Amino acid sequence: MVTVVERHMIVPNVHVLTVEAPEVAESVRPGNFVILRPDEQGERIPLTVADWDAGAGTVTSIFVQVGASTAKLARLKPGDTIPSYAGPLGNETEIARFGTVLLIGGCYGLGSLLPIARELTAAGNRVFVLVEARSAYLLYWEERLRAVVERLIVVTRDGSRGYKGHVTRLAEILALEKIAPDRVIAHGCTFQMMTVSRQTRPLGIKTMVSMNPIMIDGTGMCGVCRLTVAGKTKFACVDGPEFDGHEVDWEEFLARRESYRAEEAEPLRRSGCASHF
Amino acid sequence: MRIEPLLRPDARALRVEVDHLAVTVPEGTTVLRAAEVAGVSVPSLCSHKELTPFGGCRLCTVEIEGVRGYPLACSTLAQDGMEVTTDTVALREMHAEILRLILSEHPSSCLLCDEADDCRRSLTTIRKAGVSTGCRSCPNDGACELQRLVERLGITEIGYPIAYRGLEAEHDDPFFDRDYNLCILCGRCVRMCHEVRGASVLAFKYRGPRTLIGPAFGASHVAAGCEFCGACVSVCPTGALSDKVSKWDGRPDGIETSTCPFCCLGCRVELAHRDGALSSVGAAHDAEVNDGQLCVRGRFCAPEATHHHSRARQPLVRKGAYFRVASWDEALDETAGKLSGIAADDILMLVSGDLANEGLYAAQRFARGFPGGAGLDSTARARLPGGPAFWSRMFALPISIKALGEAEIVIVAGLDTRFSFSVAGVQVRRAVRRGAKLIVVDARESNLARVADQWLRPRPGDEARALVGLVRTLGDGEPGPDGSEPTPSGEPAEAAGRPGGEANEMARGAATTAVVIGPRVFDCRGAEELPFELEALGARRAVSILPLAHGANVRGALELGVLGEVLPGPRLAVGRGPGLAQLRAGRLPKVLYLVGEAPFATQPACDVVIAQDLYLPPFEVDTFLPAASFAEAEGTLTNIEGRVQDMCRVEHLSPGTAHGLARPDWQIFSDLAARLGRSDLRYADAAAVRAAIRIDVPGFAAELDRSPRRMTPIAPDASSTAAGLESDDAGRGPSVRPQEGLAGHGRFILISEQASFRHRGIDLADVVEGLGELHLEEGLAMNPDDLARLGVEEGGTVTVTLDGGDLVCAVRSDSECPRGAAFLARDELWEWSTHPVRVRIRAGDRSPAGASRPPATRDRRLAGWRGGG
Repeated sequence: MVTVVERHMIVPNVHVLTVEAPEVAESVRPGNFVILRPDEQGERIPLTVADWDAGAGTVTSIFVQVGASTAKLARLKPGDTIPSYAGPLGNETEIARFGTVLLIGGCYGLGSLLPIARELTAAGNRVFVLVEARSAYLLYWEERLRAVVERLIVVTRDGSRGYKGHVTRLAEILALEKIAPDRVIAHGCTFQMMTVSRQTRPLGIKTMVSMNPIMIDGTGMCGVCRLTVAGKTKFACVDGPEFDGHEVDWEEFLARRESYRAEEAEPLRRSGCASHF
Repeated sequence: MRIEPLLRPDARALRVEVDHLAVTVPEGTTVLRAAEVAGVSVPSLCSHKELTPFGGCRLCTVEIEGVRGYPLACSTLAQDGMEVTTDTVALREMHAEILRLILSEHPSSCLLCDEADDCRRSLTTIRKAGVSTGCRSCPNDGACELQRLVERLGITEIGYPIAYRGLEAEHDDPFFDRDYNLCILCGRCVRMCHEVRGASVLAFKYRGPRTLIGPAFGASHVAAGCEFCGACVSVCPTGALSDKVSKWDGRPDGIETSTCPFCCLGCRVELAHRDGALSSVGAAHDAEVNDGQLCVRGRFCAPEATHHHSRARQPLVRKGAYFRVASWDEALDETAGKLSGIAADDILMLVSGDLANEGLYAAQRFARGFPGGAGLDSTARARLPGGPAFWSRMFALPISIKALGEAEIVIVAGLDTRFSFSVAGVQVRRAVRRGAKLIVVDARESNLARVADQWLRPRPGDEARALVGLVRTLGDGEPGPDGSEPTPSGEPAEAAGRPGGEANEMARGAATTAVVIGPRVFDCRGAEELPFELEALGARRAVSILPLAHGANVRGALELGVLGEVLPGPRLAVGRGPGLAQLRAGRLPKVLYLVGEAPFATQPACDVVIAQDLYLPPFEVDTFLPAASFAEAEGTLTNIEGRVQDMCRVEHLSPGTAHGLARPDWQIFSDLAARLGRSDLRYADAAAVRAAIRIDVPGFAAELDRSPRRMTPIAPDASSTAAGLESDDAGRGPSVRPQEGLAGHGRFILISEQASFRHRGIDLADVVEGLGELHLEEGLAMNPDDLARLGVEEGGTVTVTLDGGDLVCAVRSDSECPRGAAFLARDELWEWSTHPVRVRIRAGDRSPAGASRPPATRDRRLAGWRGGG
């Protein structure tokens, strides 16, 4: 059981969750995730770690409210408790001296890229970060990111800040910004990571994506998080979560995510306030 | 309907040209409507056919020959010879520009995204957002009027700075969510709430760019008196208002017209279904019944009532210590085995008045077909206090929902229409808006009392006597419709608590009178005179009556003879075997066959209990036969007006363990009869049952004939029950009402009302989360002053002492209760023979220790009842 230190909606539908979990805070590395249950009866969901403070013993994640369990998380107040919080899980992001690294983030990815950016910069890389959102009001942590990278590039779908459009303009933006990355790391929704991979393949840039399938135990036992990478079945929890985006079978991945569409909506088919937030 | 004030019956015909297409429209028609008649669509977001013109979105600008500038089509009246142009370069630019301005304040990035289609596919599983920041995470995606307009006007750029208001989404009221960041301030919800519903809960708050929709002073919808009818949600062009239950179901596969299964009004509904399951319910525009309106039950409660996780969908049988899933064959064999060779006195079939006509008819036929007969009774009896003869007279009166809205004088007794019979309330308020006088007879304050021209407030429990007094003297001194002598003045309406003279004065000269009688009134002493007084009133003036009873098909239950002493028709017969009265007296039969009812909290001491229902009863049964819900089988319901209306099957889930094997009630009886070697219940489908009904019940409509019918009264002299003091000689008679004075001792008058959220033996508040959160019928409702005097807090415990014993229950503060009275919801089995009654109410639990528990009913509200006597 862990105690909630902070939970607030940072931009519409995106929440910051900080909990007191000293053991996790001590050993967590960039790219790791935790698995938690929002309540005793709740399902187990993975959240990528966005920041931590080993001294204070706290761990921070950014989550997007997209269903029943995240709706429960979105109701938490400081002082509330979470019945289980297991981590750090998964392999950490590979930190090495790659040269120039471009991080691409959307949604919760803006948060989970922060520790990666920090470490890569510390490892002597030139680090650029491209953040993407539907509109300027959905951007957060820009200052925190800017502080640890060489340059922050903003793309908004409606052009309300930075480049207008989507990551499909990647080649053009790289040319305009005069960046030639040796490696791309993308954290965000499946669609965005898939699009990034499709953009970087012709450019021949090694691209790592942080896969986000349904997970249960997070330790390789259940196999729910399976995906096909380079023709081989992998478990996102123990083999990942980061994989080479050019090797992921995206079609299969999207189809698997759809498996429980009806069941996922089921707990929300209630007319009361207790089931909605 | 809302254009009424503009459209007069004597309206002139106008000739108008829209884009060179000539149309003729009546005077009072708007240019927008004239264009629609001409087949020309003018973009608009704020106009709605049921609402008055508003001119809020400014999208419907047109050019009119000879008129300067660009008038709005929605708020300009058509004139003879008008030449309207809707499609010019200037207009197109103007429409696009106005839409861009609207979009700049609406989360619209997805609307203009070139990857929308790809993204839509990948986001299907993760769109159940708390706050919508784009179409892909919006519950209205695909049904949005903004989306359609963007597509139609070909908008690809906004060009204005994007403004997101950053308002907190509102999720803290049941049934629907509100995210005013998506709101375009079209005002449809405000007008719907005010003009059509007459509830006036929603309003525009603040001014200019800060303008916001909601109840005044930041009150919650619950506190502001919202009826949760969902009419605002239905007219919202965006996703700002979304219904909690179905918001993430996605676009429906289809929509079927059906009938609401929850009350006797029989509102016509549109059932949206997806993947073979009911998704949501909307109102059908049937001018005769509900005219596009619903109540909270009809609009929001159906999906949970049929899909709740506690639904029992498979046959179950008890084998020794095991209660296990069985095949239909096994369960039917088992049940038939328990039913064969039973004497009439040893078996009671108790049938819910919520069943479809087909189920009711098959049930009575099944019971009556037993060799020697079987006990047969319906909980509809408890819903129809006064007995079959009384109600057959009530149903012989001209009953009409629609006529309410057109009456010149409306009398409403003992009814609050916030959560029950809301559609009747809508019609009453419609009549008031049209200038009708409203007289309310109610000891309790109600939503209608607050808008009444005169509120007669009798002593609690005397509503029937006050109503009888009022009806008797109504329009005194007027000649009869045939010019006959004025009727002599009746006795003054002394029971009304104040002179009824003013009300009579009001009624004078009014041609049409509507009388609406709430269920509580029929429990009151003096109610037995109502049919006669209403008949007499009908002889003096044009009247329409709306007698309201709880239960979805109580009129059908009476007509189809699901009571021991009533045969289909209805005709009187000699009842055999036990009935409801025996159950109430605690005399249980050997075999109890519960069809759609579960009126016990604990195991009834019968040898065999068979349950046929949607939900497992809260006690052990020997066999459980899962019945199909209103969405799972075709059938008909008879509404209070006598209309036979069809229910449509929308659930088509494959039979199997996941989705169940429920069968329609009539089919279960048919199958059982076959197992018992009987050939009298062989029906191929529901239509075959209806064909059999038509032979037994003269005038029973074919399913497509939904016209109202008047019942032929059961002759009162032949009835085993006399009006007023009803005897119990058949062992099944309803309550005995004292003629004068109040029974009991004490300072408080206790009024027990029938629980109103029952459906097939369950309390809807138990399965519909939002209804449960409203806590409508829990505990004893008392005036806050009385609570303060007793020194009890809201939610505290009180002991109610009456002759029969003590009732210990929680108390609820309700300022609508008159001082000195307490109101309690009761369930079907609780006999209320002396109503109203004086009681002592004391703070805390004062019941004598060790008092024996009474006949246990399943109603949690009565769980504290401790019988004495």
